[in-house]
Amino acid sequence: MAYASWWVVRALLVLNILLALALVVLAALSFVFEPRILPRLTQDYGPDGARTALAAMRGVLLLVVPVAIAAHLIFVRLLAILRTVAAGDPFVAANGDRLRAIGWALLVIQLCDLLLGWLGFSVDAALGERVSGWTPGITGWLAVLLAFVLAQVFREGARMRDDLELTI
Amino acid sequence: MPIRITLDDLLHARRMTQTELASRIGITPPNLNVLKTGKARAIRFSTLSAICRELGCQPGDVMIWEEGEDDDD
Repeated sequence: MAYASWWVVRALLVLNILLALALVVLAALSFVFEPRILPRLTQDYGPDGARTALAAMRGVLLLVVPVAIAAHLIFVRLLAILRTVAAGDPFVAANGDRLRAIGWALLVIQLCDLLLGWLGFSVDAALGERVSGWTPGITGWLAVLLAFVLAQVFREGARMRDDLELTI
Repeated sequence: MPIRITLDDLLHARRMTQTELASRIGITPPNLNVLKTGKARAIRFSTLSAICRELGCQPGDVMIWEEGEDDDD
């Protein structure tokens, strides 16, 4: 398993877990330190705005959970695909299934991104100023499409190869 | 598979072994066995032509169609 990409994906898998855990801990700490956080936020946004900002912050931190799970599923499947590459036989139907699963996971991430945008706009509206900084992007949606198309290509390719192997 | 390969009778009539035929038509004995046992998905014209040449027969002598379900992928 000497491929550099294999090590990169493995490192990303571990980083994803660590980052997700850190952000969940941060969300939990926001409850523990609420008495200290709220007064500071109140200075900037007023009492109602502070509660809204705190709730939005927790929402963003918790939104990391489904994104991290989806990213974990992607990394696990990428590692499985890279294992088949190392074994010298990547054009198998199982990799088509893995790519399709990656497509679904990317879709979940995109939907969470939309949710993040909605959360951001809600907070902006509640606070009367733009603090979210979220902008829509097309790259992620293209990645979803690409994963599903590649999955289809892999499944069809694997089927064609099976046919060819059994052509005498 | 509704297509059945009838090589056994032809080989028997010509006193030829499966290994010998495989060698003459340039495929491996396991591949010829795949063809003979109906596990093949397709047959190349070049293989069919070689079989007909070596056994002195027509394509229709090598395979017959029987009522049955096609294999689905």
